[in-house]
Amino acid sequence: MYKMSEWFYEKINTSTGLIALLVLFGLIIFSANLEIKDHDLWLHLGVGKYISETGSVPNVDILSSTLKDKSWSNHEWLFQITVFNVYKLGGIEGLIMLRVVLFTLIFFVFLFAVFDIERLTLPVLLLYLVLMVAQNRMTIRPEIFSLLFLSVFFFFLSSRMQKKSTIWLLAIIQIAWCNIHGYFILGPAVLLIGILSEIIKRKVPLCFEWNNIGRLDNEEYGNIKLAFWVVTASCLVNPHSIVGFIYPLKVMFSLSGDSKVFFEHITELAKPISLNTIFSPGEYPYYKILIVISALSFLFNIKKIDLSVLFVWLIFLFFSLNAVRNMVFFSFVAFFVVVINMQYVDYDKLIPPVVSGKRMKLVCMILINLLMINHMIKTIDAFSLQGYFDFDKYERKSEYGGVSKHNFPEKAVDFIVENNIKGGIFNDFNSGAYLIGRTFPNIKVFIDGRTEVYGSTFFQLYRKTIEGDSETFDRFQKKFDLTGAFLNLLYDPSYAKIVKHIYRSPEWVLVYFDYDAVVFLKDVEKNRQVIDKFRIDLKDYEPQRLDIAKLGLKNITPYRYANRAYALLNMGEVEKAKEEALEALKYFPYYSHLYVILGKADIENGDFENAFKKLRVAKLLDQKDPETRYLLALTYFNLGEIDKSRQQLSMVQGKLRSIPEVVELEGKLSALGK
Amino acid sequence: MRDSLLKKAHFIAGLLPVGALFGLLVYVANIEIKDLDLWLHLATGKYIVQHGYVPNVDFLSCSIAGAPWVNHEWLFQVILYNLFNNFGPDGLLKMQIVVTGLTLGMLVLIGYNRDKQLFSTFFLLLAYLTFQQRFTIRPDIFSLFFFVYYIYVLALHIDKRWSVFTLFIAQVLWSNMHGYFFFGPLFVLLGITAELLKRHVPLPYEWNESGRLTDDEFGRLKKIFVFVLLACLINPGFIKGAFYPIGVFFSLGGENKVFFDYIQELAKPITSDTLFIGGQFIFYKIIMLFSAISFFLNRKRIDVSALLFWIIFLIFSLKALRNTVYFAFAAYLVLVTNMFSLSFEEIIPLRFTQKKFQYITMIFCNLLLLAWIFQYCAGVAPRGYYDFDKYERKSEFGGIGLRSFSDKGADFLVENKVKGNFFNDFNSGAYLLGRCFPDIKVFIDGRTEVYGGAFFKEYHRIWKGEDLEAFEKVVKQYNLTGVFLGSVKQHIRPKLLNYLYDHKDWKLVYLNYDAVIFLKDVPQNRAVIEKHELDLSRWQVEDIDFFKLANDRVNGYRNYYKAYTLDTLGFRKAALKEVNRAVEITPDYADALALTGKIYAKNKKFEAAFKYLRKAAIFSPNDQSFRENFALVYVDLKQYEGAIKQYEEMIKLWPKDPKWYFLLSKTYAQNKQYTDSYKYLKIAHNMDRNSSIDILKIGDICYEQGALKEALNTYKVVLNTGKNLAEAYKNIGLSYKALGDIENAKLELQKALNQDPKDEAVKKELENLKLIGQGVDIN
Repeated sequence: MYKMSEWFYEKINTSTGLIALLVLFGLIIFSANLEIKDHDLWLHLGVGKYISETGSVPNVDILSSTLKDKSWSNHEWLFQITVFNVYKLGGIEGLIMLRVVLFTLIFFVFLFAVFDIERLTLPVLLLYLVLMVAQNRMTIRPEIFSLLFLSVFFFFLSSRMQKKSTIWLLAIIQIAWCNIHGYFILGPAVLLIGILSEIIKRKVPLCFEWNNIGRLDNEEYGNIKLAFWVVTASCLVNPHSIVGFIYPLKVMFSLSGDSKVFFEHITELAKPISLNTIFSPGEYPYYKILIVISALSFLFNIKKIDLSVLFVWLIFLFFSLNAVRNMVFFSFVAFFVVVINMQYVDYDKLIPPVVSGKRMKLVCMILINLLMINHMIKTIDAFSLQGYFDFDKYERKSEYGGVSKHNFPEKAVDFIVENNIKGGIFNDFNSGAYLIGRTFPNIKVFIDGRTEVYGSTFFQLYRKTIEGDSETFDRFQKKFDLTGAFLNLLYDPSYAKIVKHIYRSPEWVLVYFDYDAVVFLKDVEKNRQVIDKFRIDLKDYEPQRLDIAKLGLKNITPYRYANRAYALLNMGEVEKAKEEALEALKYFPYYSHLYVILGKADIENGDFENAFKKLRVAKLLDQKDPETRYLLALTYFNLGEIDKSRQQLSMVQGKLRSIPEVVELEGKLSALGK
Repeated sequence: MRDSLLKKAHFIAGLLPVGALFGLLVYVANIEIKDLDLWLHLATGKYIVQHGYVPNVDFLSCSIAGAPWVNHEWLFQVILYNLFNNFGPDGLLKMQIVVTGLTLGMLVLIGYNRDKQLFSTFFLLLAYLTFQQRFTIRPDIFSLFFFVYYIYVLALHIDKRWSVFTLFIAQVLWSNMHGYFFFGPLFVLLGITAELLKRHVPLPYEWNESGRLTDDEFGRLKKIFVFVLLACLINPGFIKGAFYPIGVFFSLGGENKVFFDYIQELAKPITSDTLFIGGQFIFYKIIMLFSAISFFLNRKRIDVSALLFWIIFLIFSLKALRNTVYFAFAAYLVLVTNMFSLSFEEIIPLRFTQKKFQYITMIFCNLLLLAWIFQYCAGVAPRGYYDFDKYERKSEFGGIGLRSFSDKGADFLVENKVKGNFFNDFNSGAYLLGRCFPDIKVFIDGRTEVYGGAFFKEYHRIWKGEDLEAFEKVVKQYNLTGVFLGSVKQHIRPKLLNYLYDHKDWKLVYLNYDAVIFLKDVPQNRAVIEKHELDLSRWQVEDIDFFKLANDRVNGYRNYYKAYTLDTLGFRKAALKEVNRAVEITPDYADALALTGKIYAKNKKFEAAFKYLRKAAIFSPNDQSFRENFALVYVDLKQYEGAIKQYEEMIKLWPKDPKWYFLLSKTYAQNKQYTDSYKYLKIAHNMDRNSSIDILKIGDICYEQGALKEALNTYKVVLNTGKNLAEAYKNIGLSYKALGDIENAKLELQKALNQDPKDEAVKKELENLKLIGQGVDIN
């Protein structure tokens, strides 16, 4: 009777484990179906198209007006022609499908390496955490191939090194890898770690049982050494040979010094954990959980640590702590680490005796499986509800499937394409890749996502220009013969000075103005026809009206209005900016940015009392916005409330702290003394 | 050496969270005074102190004056009054700190175990977090104190002789402080019953031996029972006083059930809807779960007395939320008893059994607990709200609450020396007594057991305006010369309010956010009426200094409540001004936005109404009334598609409520989509078989729009409800007539006449039909 009961619990445990696994893969497929919102994808599509059409991988820049003919080691060409051809065959849905397949494959390889049908709870739980970390990197970029290749490397290293054929398989993978993504150096690096660990295990006396854990036999050791040399040699199989091989290493080492500027301005290069965020649960919680769990697994398995696993963990931890984009690599490593460590741990020692007994253990596993299933289903449900309002169709656009409606300056680029505009243009950093994907070769961009090609000096000059240095802009336009300016309003609606400069410059004409961008054309012969047809006089501008009855209770963020209002304000059209913001308030009254715009408009008009009322509301709606705090401080200052001004200014944190206006106000307050 | 150092560190680290918990208690027990009944106790205490005796009949109310009243809380009232008289509100708060602090102190003594400090502190924290929900200055805090004292003596000192004497004294005090004094004898009885079970009934595992008393202890327990029973008789009402709470307890069924519907503290803490909701009584639920698990872990050595104790107080607490703390204390006792029966080796995984490791883990966990308590305290400390009178923030700790009482209304009565018998709302009764007794005698107050269920129901009918004749009757019966309707955290019911405002005998003399006061036009009130009678058509909104408000989050509730009352009285312009000010102060004040929308809708300005109701519903999408009003405004705008979409969404949100199906059906009918209308009508009817009015209305819409067959089918559904049959038959008959089916029309109209033989219109219709049948042109 008892045996029968135990058999029953075992079956239930296996079944619930399998169900949890299925739900996990359902969640993986669902998550990977995320809409396309990555900028660089468009750059890859543009270059992929060029390579496919011309049949050659260019070794000098072809995309930019500023880099003309500068050498460019394109180590992602294979990825680019892959995505271009997938796009050509299957369109956007084809690209999303590619991502779904790749992600599913990556998770499958990791799971396959540790699969045990009776012990699924821990791998499923860990992979679920890994998936949650990967949510931040659900992009169609070369790095997903890097993840796939890394998973294959781990798989072979952990279970197939006794076979010679493995070496040749790894070599083939490495050839593909070094033509797809700069992280191909991880292949030889992982093998090198394996060799070094083996040398230490063989030659250095270590504590506990460390010398013997995960030790290779001589044949495996020989194979891994051979694999290292073969894989390293495979890295040379790329269009640029040694230059192509060394290029990623050079980029990696150049990331200190001047290139630090990229870390300040590019989100994916920011550090995931800082002293301020180490204990904040909202910032990358799953990544932190995986760090803790993997570290604890070493503690539980202190006597039987595999040195190679420890080295891999430490290196990937360091790697991930340096840039957000590497977190997902660490999370997969953490998965491996925990599973390997836990296979040496005696579970009976981890469970309180009062709940020991096989049946009790099985019941606990079943419960955990059920809880995981429940949680994952809830996550799918929550994901499925993610979306935003599509203003063109008056309906909700899901965040899954298709192209994002609010990540790209789609309509502005449509304008350029439809009117066959050509030439070198000044553009913001975020628009560069999208412009290449949509308008190359007609348009040559000023800057795009290839930071390593442009270099830090140029990037700093670009920042200076975009932040309002009109002289540099004028110099650039002559030097690079720029006949257009394209400024995307989606990302940084505060390019106030440069927008104002171009708008007021007599030789530039505003031809496109909407929520996504402003387009100016230089008044030269080749642009005249378009200018004559589309010249915009903002004095006649009228806010767009929405059918509020049709909107119903749809929770919309009127970002289009806010973007336009910001742009109007930046171009000095204060009353028009107010009209635009007030129109938006009819549709959604709780969007703090609108009150900030209204407050700014009142400040522009010198009406600080009314500005206070607007900014007060903005602050009530969003306590954390530093711009609101600064504007409140400015308003208080002008109303003679010095202490309150100081109090508000003390709340201004982050980048805003260093902008000249804030520094100036700070100076004035300091001059007044206490 | 190292181990001993760690052991000491572990001990000290274990004391830190306990100390912090006492610190937290001192802070939280200083919570501002917001209990309504406190004012009743103060008034009674004052009376007893001034007259030197405990009255046995009511003297506070005009409606039950002279009725027998067993005041079993007189000792508490006297203490309270003396403290208030000598030290003001702070004296009362200090008393609360002392009593709750002593209660917590005894809990520490009951559960402290040097080796398992972490567990006992954690359980203490859970018990405390439930306890602090009931930090109010009421006799309950003394009951909780005596409750814990009983546990302390019976669990730890039953072997001592003094236990008999000390419990006797405690019981005497308890019997004169709070009706829950019967818990004392009940405890002892439970102990005796459990001991008898252990001695005479074969129980599983080691239950017969677990927690078994010696013969000496058992004998003492029986003696205690006799003495505490006798102690219950020492009260001003003697036997009557001893049995009174039991009588009240058993009378809570029957007509007194009504109290459970209207009095918050008598509501159930857990229902099927709130069982898994984290925010609702979360610590009560956690301690319930943990104590149940502790029985499971200690299943072999359960102490039957602890189990009985736990079950009885669990049932008791599930009945009314005010009892949850009693259960939390019982669960705490159970947790410590069960956990101390378990050895560490059974709880701790083998991997962590090393002493050093244990000490380090415990120190770490204790520090975490300490950090949590500090964090919790930091979260509690900034609680407060805006004091509009002083233009500054009022902390929720210390002093008297500014949002809990109709203080300005009462000030008005005191300043103008208004006297007499008043009709008042239930919530204001106690406060009026505290502030205005003996000048004012109230109609009702918090002593539900004295007024009784029947009286409460009558009061409620008057308050809701359902029985205004009853109001006129009580005005005469009790010689009422004033009406005080509080609007603190509630809205005054429109029927009663409008009745009073329109009545020539009643004059409005006070209207503010906290209350409305009417005085009867009698000589004793004339001077006040002449001076303060209000003309609402000249209403002015008070100015507010936005710069003084600064950019703090302030709730413009005062303007909102004034606006609500003004709107109820039909002064929409004034109401709009007030509510606009509320929105200026708090731009996302959903209630105020919704009220603005409703006022515009009443003024037939549907587009503006739509705008505001939309804002309110966007802010609070789960508020049924906002959603309903928003959908209705679509109907007003004749945008039926929009309304249909809203009702469909509401059905998704609240699928069990037939109201939305009826409204959807109605809107479909208005949009001439009769098939869909009928479909949803059937669903709604199946969900609510009694509703007939809604169906009749839908039928009327079809009829008026000329959809006669659809109207006919709809009216026929009414017949299934068994209600409004006369009207249903009449409408069916008229539909047949309009369809030209004279025979059926006659048949149905005849049925209508059978249902209501006095209906002249039906009689006339039948006569007309007869004439038509005879070929007479009735046109």
